[in-house]
Amino acid sequence: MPRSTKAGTKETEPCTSSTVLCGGVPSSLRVVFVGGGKLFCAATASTVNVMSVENGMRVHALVGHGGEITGMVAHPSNEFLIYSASLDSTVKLWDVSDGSLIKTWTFKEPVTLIASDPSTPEAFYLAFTSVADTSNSTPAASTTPKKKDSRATVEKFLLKLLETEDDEHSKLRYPRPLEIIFSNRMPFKALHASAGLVAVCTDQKIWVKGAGIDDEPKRLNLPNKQYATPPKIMTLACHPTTALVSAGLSSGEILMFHNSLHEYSLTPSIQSHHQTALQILHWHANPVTALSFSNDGTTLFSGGLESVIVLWQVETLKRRFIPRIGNGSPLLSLGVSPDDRFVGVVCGDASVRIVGVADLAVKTSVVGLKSKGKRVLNGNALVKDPRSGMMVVAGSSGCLQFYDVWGDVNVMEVEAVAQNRIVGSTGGSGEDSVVGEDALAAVKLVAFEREGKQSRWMATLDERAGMTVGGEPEVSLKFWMWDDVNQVYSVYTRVTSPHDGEVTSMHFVALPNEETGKKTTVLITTSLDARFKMWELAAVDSSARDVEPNWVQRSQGFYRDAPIYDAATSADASMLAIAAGSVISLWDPATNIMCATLCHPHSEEHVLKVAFSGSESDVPCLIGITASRCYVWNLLTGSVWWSVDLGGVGNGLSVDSETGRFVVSAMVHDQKDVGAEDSGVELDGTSSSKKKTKKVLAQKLGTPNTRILEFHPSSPLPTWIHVAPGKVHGLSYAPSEHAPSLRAKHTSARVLIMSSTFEIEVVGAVTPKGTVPSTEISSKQAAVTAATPSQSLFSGIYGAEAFQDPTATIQKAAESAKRDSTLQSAGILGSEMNQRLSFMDTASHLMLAPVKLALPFFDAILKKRDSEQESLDRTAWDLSASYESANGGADQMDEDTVVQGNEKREHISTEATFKDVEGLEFLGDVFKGMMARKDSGSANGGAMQAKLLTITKSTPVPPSTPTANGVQGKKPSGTPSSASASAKKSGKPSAKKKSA
Amino acid sequence: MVNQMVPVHRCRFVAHMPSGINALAYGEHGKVACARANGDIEVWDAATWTLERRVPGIGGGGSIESVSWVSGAGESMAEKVRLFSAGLDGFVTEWDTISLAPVSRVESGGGAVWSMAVKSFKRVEEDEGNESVESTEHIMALACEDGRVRLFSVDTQGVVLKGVCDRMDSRVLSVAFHPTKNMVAAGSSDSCIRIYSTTTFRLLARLTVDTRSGEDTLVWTLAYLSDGTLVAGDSLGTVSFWDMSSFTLMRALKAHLADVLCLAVGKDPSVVFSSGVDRRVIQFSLVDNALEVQQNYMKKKSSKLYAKNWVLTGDRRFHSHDVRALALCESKPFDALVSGGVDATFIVSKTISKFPECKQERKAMFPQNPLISLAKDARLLLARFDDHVKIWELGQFVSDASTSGGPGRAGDKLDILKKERLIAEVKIKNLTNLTASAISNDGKFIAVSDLFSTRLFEIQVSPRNARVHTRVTRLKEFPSPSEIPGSTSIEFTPDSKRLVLAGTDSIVRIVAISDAGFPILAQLTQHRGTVGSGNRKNASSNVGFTGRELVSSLAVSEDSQWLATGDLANRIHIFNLDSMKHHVTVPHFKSQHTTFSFVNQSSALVITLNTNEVFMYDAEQRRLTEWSRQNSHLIPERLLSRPEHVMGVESSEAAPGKIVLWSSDYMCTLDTHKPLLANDMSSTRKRKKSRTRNGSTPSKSPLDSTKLLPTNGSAAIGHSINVNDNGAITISDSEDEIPSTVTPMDIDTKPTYASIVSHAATRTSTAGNAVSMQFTYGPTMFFGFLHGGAEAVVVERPILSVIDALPPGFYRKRYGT
Repeated sequence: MPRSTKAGTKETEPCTSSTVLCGGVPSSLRVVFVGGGKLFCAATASTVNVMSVENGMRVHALVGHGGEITGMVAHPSNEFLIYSASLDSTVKLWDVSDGSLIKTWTFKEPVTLIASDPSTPEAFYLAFTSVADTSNSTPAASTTPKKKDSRATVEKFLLKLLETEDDEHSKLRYPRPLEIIFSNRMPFKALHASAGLVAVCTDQKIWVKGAGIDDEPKRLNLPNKQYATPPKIMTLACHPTTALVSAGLSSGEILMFHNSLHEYSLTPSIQSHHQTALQILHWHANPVTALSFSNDGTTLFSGGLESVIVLWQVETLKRRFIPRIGNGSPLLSLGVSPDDRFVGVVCGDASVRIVGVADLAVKTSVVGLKSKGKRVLNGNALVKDPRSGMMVVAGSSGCLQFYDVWGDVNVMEVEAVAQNRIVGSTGGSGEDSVVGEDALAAVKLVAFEREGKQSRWMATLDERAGMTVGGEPEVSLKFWMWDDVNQVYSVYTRVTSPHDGEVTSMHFVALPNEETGKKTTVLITTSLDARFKMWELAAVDSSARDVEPNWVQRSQGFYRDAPIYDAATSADASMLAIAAGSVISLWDPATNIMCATLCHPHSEEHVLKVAFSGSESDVPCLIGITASRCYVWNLLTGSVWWSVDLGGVGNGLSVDSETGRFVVSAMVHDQKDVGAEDSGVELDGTSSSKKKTKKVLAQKLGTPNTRILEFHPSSPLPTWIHVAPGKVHGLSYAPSEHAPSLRAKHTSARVLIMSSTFEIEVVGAVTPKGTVPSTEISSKQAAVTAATPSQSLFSGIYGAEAFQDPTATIQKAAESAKRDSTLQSAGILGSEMNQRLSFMDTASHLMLAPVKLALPFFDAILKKRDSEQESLDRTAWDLSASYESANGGADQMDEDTVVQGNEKREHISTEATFKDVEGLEFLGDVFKGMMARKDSGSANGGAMQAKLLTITKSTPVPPSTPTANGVQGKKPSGTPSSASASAKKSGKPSAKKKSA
Repeated sequence: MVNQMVPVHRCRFVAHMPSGINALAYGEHGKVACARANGDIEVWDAATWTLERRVPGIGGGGSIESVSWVSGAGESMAEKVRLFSAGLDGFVTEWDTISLAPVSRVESGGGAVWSMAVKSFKRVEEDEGNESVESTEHIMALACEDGRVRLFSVDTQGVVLKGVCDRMDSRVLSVAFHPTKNMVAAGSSDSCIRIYSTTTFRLLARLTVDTRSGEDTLVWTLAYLSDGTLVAGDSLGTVSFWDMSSFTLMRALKAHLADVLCLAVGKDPSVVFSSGVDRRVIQFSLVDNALEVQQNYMKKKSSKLYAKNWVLTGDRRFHSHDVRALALCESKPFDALVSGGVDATFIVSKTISKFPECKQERKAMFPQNPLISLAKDARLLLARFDDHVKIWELGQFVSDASTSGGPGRAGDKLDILKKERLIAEVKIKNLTNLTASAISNDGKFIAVSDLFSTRLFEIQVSPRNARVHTRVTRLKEFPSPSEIPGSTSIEFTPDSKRLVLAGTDSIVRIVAISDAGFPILAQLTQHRGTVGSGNRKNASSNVGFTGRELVSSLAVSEDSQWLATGDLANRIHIFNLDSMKHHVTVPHFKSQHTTFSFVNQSSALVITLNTNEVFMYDAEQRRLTEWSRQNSHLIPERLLSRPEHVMGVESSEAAPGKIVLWSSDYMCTLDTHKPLLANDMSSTRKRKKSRTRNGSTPSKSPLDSTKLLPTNGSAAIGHSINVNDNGAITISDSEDEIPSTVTPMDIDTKPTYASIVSHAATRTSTAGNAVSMQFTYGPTMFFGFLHGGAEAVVVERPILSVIDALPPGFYRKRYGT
């Protein structure tokens, strides 16, 4: 159930939409019970969720606030009404029975706190924090006011549901306060009111005031103890019927101000029970963050970092405890149901628990998305569980949370790192301890077997700090097997320190076993120690039946000692791409033979993410992300198909296996994304969408944003661009079965992102009502593209897209030019690629290596020596020359190529170590220079090749002999096997087969 | 000015053990009675927190469980305050606080008395002439071992049994009188509180407290508030509040972790203090949380229900062991809570109305008048204990001034030639605990007194290494108790020829010591005043008081010519011992004197008051000396503000003109040759003002750099404890004549605590030339110079070594241990 749709840029630019699905930093506001104690309201950011006490299911989501919700108050008499205050300067009244908004009051300033006076219906105390000086009074600015100029007030309002005609308030734009009760320079921290008094506090001070107009505010004195650091006031609660005010301190003490409205007296007198008396309750050892009285006033509930609810009998101070409430997380607030049967606890692990007071047991637990703070899985915070389709995020320390983002329901949690949850062991307090807790144990990586619903295996990589001597974190790789009976993942194998360096990625791949016909599941791990390892289930020894096979290391490989950042396998597991340094090496995972390498021109940039394009119907290609660019290699040619400057640091990549599209996220830094001439804010009101985009971007200057681009592999033009504020922690395509529910919202969005506020949003292009969702259009287009391959000479080089109808492409290019200035170069590229003859003018690095051009060129114009069949063989099987043959010389090489191509792949060099081959880009540079000299490549083909061979001879290790003629004369390989085969021909076998 | 160093014998071998405090009672006349486990009853003055007098306990008489002040019974004694005690010996004793003797002893008839309560009420009688006569009647209730509460009426004749309440099956542990109604509540060891009528002695109600399964709860203490609420403390740690109109429990707060042993209530019915085995002193307050809100809202919610409530509003821990007794002193100037218990420390918590933030003041564990006397010539040291005295011979150090070729530095340790040794322990066949003792300067005689008799012993000290034991023989020729009663103070003249005895009958007797016998040379009756005419109008200011009072101080001048005697009515008389005539009466000081002494081989008598003011009176010239007239009002604030009073005044022949005022935690040297600096003073008026405001707390004087030093606190003890029971000799810096540094002799290499202190002390002394204060020594029991002023003796009693000797305190398992 989508909770809120962001207006954002969509008003003017119907480009993308983002809809918050779930998550977000959960609000620590008190849970409010409504609906006769059957429902409760808990806030998350700007949404109030109405949930059932009985089973925790969400009944309604009250969406409408434009800012963070800062308070919820139940209507004193109507149990189905709830008020909510927000930083968007409004107080809204909702009907929880149908989730509808009844009324909105707008104020001049953001409402920071709200409390109601139960003795006077419709009387409310609202706290405001106003910044006096600056004109910029946006909500964001007022939440962090400067000390000097801010002024915090608590004012009393009469917010009438029904206003009569003669009521003067109805004519006012803003409600007028009845009285200003407190005023302070520092913002108020907590506000609470009971029948007859209102109390407010800052970090160090508490004031109370009677309900009467002529009552004077009175400051309550904190105990005059000698503290090393004076404790902060964390929270406040008023007794429902008497003049008892209690406050929780960061020292763990609870102060009880009895008879709080009266003055302290220094000399005892007969009337001394008319003085304020301070009582100190001290059980908590850590800050008391949650405090509430029961509605009958007999019990005080308190909670803090200890995860324990303490029930104090107010009369006698007898204590009862409800321990282990938040699974070791701090309790942030406590709300009591009107009948005192339940307490709603907001825990620090993004969960709300309803605890029965009578039996001291948790009745209902609503666990939200726990991703928060540093709890982000390495690389991508959103991982799809193929078995259930749930998204997997790193939950609380050392846990994995399986979350249904569409239903906003926690499905299950797997504690990947077993640990003792001892409160305060990290020495931190409050929010700091969350960080400390994370430092203790964290799941860094998770991978799932890719067998759809039949997936059995999960692998996790976790880190536990400080467990080993020397401070090195203890890293362990765990294999989990899904237990169908108990419906849990259980640890199967545990490997300590799987790599010497940091493990960067993990992928499962199912290798077809040719002998048995069954598939073998293999896990591939890559690491910065320049190794990638493959793990498999050890073969079962038939003699020992009872012994369960373990996961063991099957093999390990490396490429030039380059740190490996990512790995990817093609859908049929026939090819493994390893992003080692700036080079992607392609391997056959079954045989551990290195087949080829793929390079990109910016050799100083490491390839950080790599993925195969998903759709089987497409041209097989490989997508790679470097620090600044996104590359797509055509696997048929082994060359860069196209690349796009991301304008920032690329950090996320996700491929949709259904449509073949992929999304890339890039951190956009301040000055880079907007051109120098556009860096000023353009407020001239031009309706151009491009300028609007810039305006949005410019407004966000100073805070890094994340740009999310969706591409189809066939085109460098993004299908849409979305700008998300702050850092996007993860992105992933949603399973397609949820698409219908989204389509109802007229959006084709299927991309899930975890935003900087740890909300999971669905992002996608917006389609106007009544039209076909663009997803379908684009997929149709893709299908068309795939179906009509160009037969022209360069189609194999630039892909089919480049040879589409020129007008359509130009139009598209123009559209894209509007979207983002940073993609202008790509746009130019796209438009100019249509001009076939002028392709030589494009940037050299965008072109294929001339070597690749040369041979097909020659092949095309020269008569072939061999028969048609031979030609086919040659294209099918690469001239995977061995070194010996390569040393033979230019003429020999061709011969060898032919011969060895017939001999297929069995001829494998065992010593293959590509130490110094620069790969294709090296040769590309050579030709670039030649192009610059305006030498006619086609005319001097022979010379070129001779030159090439000379150069390659000068290098210690001979290079490959690239051949790009496989595509020519054939239909583009539709089957993955042929694609991989054709890709292999440009590489060289270099494999070290190692058995574990 | 002679600059020389004085070696100091730093003695820790006097293992004085204070005995625990069992009961405290505050009287409306501003005195606190403190009953100790050894039977002594101390009377403290609440205005200055001075220990005034000590009623010696009757030997083997069992511990006193409760004390009470009864003010004025009957018309003739309307102004007199009487002191009663009751204890496990089964007697109720009335004590004469002047003669320190029991006035009357009445057996309870029911065995040991666990608790006593007294209630005074006005009774209006119609006499024959139909005129209503108002009289005050006192009724006393005793909680007896046999399970009965016995009621006595207290009148001028004494204590008369009035009636016996119905019997209960268990021991009665506590009693309390209802302030207005004719009821007495008795807490017993069978988890019950029983309410009896004081007129019919019948059971009115039986209140049951909480029990733990299978065990009876002991109701240790009971108290009535002035509004009639009964407060009870029991062995479960619960303090419960009972409504006496309905005999129902209003509130029970389990505030203590272990038994509640004592309660303190004042006139204010909304504050109660409790304490017990868990050592915490807890304040309960009655709060009224009622709010004035609209009526219609309040009708829905029962707001009044929880509006009035007893809540725990404060929690302090002063003691290291069980707190047995609390007393609330809430008369106007005092406003303090006194607590005492097994750890024998008398602790005053000042400004009790601010309770959790009040300051505590630990009183010294030994009496104001030293338990120790020194034979200056014979190098003997006499220490008095409850029922015996011990005599030590001081050690000798290697005289280093000649051997090392010059004076050593302050803090140097001197080699020991001879260690100190215990030469005699004299067990006295005494009726009561000993009251006074003295040793003659030549070390040949000791005089020891209990309440009823004074005895003289002759000592024949055996030489060192000799196999002969020291012989102590009682001189039977000494006048019998019929002639010389017990003494409150004893002094030998410096020439050891005469003995001055201040008798319990307030007569000062001078006895000659000669081979022929012990004739009483004179009986000085000045302190008996005019018997019968005594009408004590104002206890605190004794101007014009002519009655009899306890002689508390004696001093004889060095040349044995002058005798000064002082009593608790602050009358100081000087006699000429040559003529045996009364010489002069020292003018009356506003504040009670604490001690006095003749100094500097002259007739100058230095008198210190409990305000720490110092005066010097020349006996010969019958007026204050020139120094005193010019400087006595210039005494620096840092001395005046010390809560500890001066315990003794000493002077050394080696440093004429300097006098040493010593107290339990400081030593103050006054140079009478130098004028006190004007900027180093504060007027008396100013000081008094500050005292009434915040009590006599230590001042924030800029010169008070010694605050960083442990003055009497526990920090000092940790260092000192390893030199327990060892004499120590040091050299000291001579500038101010005060031996400033000590190194214990059994620790050779370690830098000691004492040397650290000496630096600070030196700093202090340079600040003011005429006055220097130092805090070198731990709790000091005694300070004195040996013959010629060349050596000094300090007797310390570290607190930790006292606490170590006590049984372990309440142990509570704490989280994480």
